[in-house]
Amino acid sequence: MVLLDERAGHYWQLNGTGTLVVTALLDGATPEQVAERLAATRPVTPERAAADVTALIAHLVKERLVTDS
Amino acid sequence: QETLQSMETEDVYEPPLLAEVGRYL
Repeated sequence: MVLLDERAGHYWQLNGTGTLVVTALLDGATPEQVAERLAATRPVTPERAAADVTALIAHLVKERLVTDS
Repeated sequence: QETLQSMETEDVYEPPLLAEVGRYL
């Protein structure tokens, strides 16, 4: 998935897992639900999955690609 | 939450990453 931020003049790319995470969030899932599902379907601990989802969201917020509501 | 339900099992875990590609969904 490619994200274009016309205001800042940058464009970004999410890898496969990042695309799944963002798509699931846009679909109405909570970060906790996404992390749980990642841990259930991939060789990763729930704690690591939760930390990775949180880090991705923080990165999106930092780059102002999403707003923290 | 269709996306969550459609997530299939993978043998490898790739952390979710956001990378800047260039300068101007």
